[in-house]
Amino acid sequence: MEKNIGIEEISKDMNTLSIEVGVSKGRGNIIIIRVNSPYFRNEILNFLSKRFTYETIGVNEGEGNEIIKKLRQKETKKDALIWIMPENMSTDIENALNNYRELFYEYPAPSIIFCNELFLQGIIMKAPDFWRYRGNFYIFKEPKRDAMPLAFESLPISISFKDKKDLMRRKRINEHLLRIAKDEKQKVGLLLENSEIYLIFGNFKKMIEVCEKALESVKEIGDKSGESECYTSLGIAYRNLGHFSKAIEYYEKSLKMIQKWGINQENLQVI
Amino acid sequence: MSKSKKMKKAKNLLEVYNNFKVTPLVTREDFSQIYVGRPVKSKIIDDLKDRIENLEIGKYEKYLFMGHRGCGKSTELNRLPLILDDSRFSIVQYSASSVLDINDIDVNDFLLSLALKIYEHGKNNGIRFPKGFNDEFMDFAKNVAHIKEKDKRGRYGVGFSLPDFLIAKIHTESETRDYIRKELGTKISDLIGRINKLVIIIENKLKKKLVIIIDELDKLTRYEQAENFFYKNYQLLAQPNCIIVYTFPISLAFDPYFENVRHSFREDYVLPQPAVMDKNLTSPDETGVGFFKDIVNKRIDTKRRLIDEGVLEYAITSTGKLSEFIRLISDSAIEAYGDGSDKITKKEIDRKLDDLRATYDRTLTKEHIKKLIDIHEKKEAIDETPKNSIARNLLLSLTAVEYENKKGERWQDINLILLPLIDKWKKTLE
Repeated sequence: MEKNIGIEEISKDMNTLSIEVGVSKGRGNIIIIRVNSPYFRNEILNFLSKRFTYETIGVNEGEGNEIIKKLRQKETKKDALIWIMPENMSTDIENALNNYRELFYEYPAPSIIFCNELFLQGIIMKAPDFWRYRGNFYIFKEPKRDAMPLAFESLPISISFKDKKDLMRRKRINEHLLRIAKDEKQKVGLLLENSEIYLIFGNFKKMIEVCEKALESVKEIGDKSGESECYTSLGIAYRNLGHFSKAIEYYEKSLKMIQKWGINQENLQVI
Repeated sequence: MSKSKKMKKAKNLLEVYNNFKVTPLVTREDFSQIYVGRPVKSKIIDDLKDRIENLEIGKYEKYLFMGHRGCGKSTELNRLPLILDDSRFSIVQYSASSVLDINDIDVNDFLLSLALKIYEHGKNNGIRFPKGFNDEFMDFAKNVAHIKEKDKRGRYGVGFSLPDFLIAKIHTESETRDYIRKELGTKISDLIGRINKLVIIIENKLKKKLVIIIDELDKLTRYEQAENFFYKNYQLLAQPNCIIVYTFPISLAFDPYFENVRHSFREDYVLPQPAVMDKNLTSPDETGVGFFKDIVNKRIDTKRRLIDEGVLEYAITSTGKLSEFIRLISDSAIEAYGDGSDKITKKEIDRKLDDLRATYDRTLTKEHIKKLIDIHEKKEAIDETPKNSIARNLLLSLTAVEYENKKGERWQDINLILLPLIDKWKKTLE
């Protein structure tokens, strides 16, 4: 039962999705699903597999032409096509989606496109023709017991706060102090605390921005512990955005430093 | 282009979902059933029809046709062949993406494919070209594309005409395109001469003027690619002696260089988004709102009361973009059905609007937000310098939109969906 908690939490959306796939059977349609965690994506696929037959196509960067080829076949015995998009929107995929969007409607089964947040943003900004041509779109947030809370529950720096207001107040104070702080180490502390606040708010893009600033400073002053801290935080942010290769890259950087310098052992759990 | 089936007015929410698709209208039946004429000043296609039908003999004008995404451009363009006098005009209509690789497009392969499409049109209309001309034309096309007869049999099988085969090669093979570009580099006037001969033969035999309509050239979304194709070659594009309607990427029209180019074309038409609110956003624009309501009434059986009048007006004035509005109704219908409801209510509309708003908002940077506030305050989307492209990108991503009211007054503003975010943005910037 534990495994199904996620699906139950979004059962209303899943119900709508089922209806939408059902009503689109036998004709083309584009349904976009944003889900960052592969585990949760599989849960959704398991749910769909009990109701529909589908063919799954994993798309890698550089395989834009494969999308076009597949859609041009215009033959299938399945109820739906499931496309698992890569972490990044590459130009070839952008072109395939934007310029050959009609093919999705000419295909005799609906296309369900699974992508992460970064890919979805790529669609909106770089493939707007495809975006406006789509059917419904679903933003599935990972259920509470999934990746993100685990990440920040075990994050070593912990700030105590009463509520959202308290956190906002703290962020504003930190921003003010940042403007007047002269000591780089002090600045790093403030930036990392703000990155933690952004993590709690789920604003991962901002978290990356702040961590990158902190990273510049720690490199300048040669603070190894701070540097490893920044890498870990960047890894967490990218992981939550569904950009796993980048997350691994930063986790590995942090891990190397922890092993080499014997610092921040408490971060090992997160990594 | 996909063929559409006869659409029955929706009697329940699932039928609403099926009837609200963001695909252009194609067939005469589509138009007779669900087309809604655009508000007065935007009747561009009717103006274009009048212009073409009243052209002096021997004049071959070229037109640029552009519009923002989802404003109904392809539907309007598909209407032109249906309303032009078919006893006087023969139409060659095709999408650039059906004959060319839209990601790798060049004026040489474009003009060769244009020649082949005209030739094919003549053949399909039963024209037998004079033997000398026919052989010479085919030899020319084969030479520039480096085609050997055995390729035709070996790779594409029997049953394809040579123009079909050539177009397939241009469409799919980068080496063929490279060869054509190299070969035609010095023979482009020769090709244009042959196009003009083809046009004369076809027009004389059919006793009709040729009108070429090329859709999807506006899909050249990468700015440099579009710029190279249109700005470096506009004089060549104006040379064929036939009437041509080119779709044109609207982003290029915001470039100061456009002023130099537009004079080579008889007219540049911009299909705007009918405004659903007045310029100051104080009251609904009755004409624009009426246009959207008519679209709904053609697709939904109003007796079933699947959406209340007030909710419909709310949905219209909250989006104001045709494609987004269509999507909103469709998405809300499936949502309401999932909720066990038998009609679309404000609750579903609000939920879908919130989703859309949040999704757009996540993609915006501080620079975008600053510019959007500026556009909203000045009602104008202009970049400070040609190199700066923020306003252009916002128009491209539909976060900013160009509107027109019934008086023909035009302005730019943010996408109405984003309006509730203005205060939050301003606070963020403070």
